[in-house]
Amino acid sequence: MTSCHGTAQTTTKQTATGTIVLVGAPNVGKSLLFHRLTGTYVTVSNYPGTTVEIARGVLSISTLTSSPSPLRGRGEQRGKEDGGEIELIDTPGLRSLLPITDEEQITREILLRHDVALIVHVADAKDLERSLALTLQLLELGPPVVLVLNMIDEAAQLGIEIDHRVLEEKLKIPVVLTSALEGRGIAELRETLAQVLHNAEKPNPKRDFSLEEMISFHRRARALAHEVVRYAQRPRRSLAERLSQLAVHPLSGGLLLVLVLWGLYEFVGVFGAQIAVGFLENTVFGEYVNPWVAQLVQSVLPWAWARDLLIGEYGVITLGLRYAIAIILPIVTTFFLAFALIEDSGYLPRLAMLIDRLFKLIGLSGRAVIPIVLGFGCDTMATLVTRTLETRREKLIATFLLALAIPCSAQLGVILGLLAGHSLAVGIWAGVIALNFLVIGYLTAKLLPGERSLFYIEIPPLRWPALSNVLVKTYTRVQWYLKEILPFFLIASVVIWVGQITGVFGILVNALAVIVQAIGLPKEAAVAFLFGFFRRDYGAAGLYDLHNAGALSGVSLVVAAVTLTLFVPCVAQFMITAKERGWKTAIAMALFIFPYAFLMGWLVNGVLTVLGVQL
Amino acid sequence: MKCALCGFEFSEAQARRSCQGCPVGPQCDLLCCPNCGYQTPREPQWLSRWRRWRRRNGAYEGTLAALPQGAETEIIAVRPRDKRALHKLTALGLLPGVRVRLLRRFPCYLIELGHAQIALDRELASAIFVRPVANEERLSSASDG
Repeated sequence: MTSCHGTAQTTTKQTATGTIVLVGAPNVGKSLLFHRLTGTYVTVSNYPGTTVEIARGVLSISTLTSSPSPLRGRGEQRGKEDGGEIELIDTPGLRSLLPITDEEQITREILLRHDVALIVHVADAKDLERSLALTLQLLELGPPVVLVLNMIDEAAQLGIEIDHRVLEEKLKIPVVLTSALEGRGIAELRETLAQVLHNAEKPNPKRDFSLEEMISFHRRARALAHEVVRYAQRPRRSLAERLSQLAVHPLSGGLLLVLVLWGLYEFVGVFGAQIAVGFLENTVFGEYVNPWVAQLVQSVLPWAWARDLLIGEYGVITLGLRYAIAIILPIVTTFFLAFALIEDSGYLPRLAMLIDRLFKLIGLSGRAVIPIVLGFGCDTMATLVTRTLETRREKLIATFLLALAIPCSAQLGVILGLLAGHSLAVGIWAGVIALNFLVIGYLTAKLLPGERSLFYIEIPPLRWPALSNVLVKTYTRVQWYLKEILPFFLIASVVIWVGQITGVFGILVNALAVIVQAIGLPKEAAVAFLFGFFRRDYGAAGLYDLHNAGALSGVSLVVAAVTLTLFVPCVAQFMITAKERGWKTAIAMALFIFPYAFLMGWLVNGVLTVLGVQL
Repeated sequence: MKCALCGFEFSEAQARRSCQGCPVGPQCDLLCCPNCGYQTPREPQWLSRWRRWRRRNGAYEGTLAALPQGAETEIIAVRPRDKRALHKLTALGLLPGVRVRLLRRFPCYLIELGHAQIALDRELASAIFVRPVANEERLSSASDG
């Protein structure tokens, strides 16, 4: 048998080495099962040449001493125990082998690799009919397949009974019932995996499927499901189901959204951005790290310019590292934690559904709600997440709106503190920003060519998040985020240092002062704006000092807050925008946003002054 | 239009004829059913415009998008604008022969398929052609399912 593409050694290989691949549709509890199987030895890395995250872990099957040959994970040091270990890969969600998104394409590529020893299909026990279609496709690929019917607890609650022995006979593969959430069936699954690893590969693998074949797979799956699934009396609507209906109703869903955003703000904006940041910045860095490093550097480095570079006002350690560790880390950690909780509860698809119509007006689809909500945590991170959107047009619009109108949590914290006590001022500021988001989004959508995006999303049942999964997710994301962001902060502090030494900063501040005065602000505000580019909330913090000195009136506070929110994103976001969308796009955006922010500030100042608003 | 009282179907011109003998005159915004005389307020213009606009936006008869909330139906064909969209819908399990229930129409179309729920926008919902499921079929599917 010769295959026209793919690798040559598909049929002859040792089944004891290689990789076990976990596949399955989104929201079937795949990653939770993955963590149950691998424990804590997990690495998350990008798939070569792409930005899709792949989690790898090691599955220990040493409990089974009866294995005929020792198994060894590739490149693993810990393979000394008897029995051994094998690599396990968790893949992005996949519904069928006809891939649609980039992520699905990657999963397909992993499945077709020559070192796949075993495919584990994780399916939703509640939804066997649709899941089996993928099982049937996987069976054609070659490597042995094990079918895992997960969430058997939820299925039982719904009165679904599955005769998995009959299913095993029909499919001629092992079928294991598990509940990853409760940890049921995991031991049995380990045993089954160890046994099946020695099975031979199916000859004549098939790799490409036509749409007609897909439809016939679905037909067969439906027939199979009818034979093995029995439904008891359909139960009453559960509490979760009723809550779910509330979440997608336009009215109650809107109220729920306000509640969620408020909770998010309290946890990230107040606890993370104020309490935790305050402790790390003032106590840890201010009292311990900075003085200690300063002493060390002064005793080692004789040159003043080098000392400035490291520990000066804008030094690599005192500014760059401190920002990354003391300010970004707590905000990002609390935000990722809250986000993982929201994500695992199944709320996000409901929000996407609720907001799709509104987002269609601004050229986005409901899916864009995920990066936009993330933007309130950190715009830089949200810009990275626009990768998950489907069309180029949608990615561009989302990136632009993030840069223009979505304030990050650090900035929000300071601005709300600045306007605190003036509820009218907060209202004007929020109204102007929201209006800008919608109007500019609408105009961008009108101007940009390209197809309207289609919106479809599966609504998983609402569930209690599993704490272990939330924590592991948060940890891997924070780690990955720091790796991407830390270099930018270090580079930024070098740039500021160069600007200071060469006097470029002074020129820029003087130039900015002219514009700043034109929109009715004192000229000292120019420094705040310049620093706003290096870190969004730093600019706002500069205004805070001015306000305390009594240099800002109520109206100019609102004007400054509006301008600074719209103003060019921070350096890290700008760099990520350039990386994701290209330099040309990033510079074009900055060239628009810069004058636009000041124009808006000027307009708001003019309107408030003419109307004689006293704040 | 259709009389809400007796179910008689008539046009606006037909109803106008009965206004001639009426003392209120032609300024009145009520239409009388030619069959039973029941008075119906005339549909305001913005409402009929809105209806036409909705229809233009793709709520074609015979598709999922035109069904009332709560309707149970069987998919007979899936015809989206391109192949990509067809793959999407197929992968989600929306194929001819599959039975679904329309849970919501607003703000999005929410359909129930087995124990799964899928949200679709109007464009995708208008690409799914359906036929109504009769009552007795519903009963039989409930007993063998």
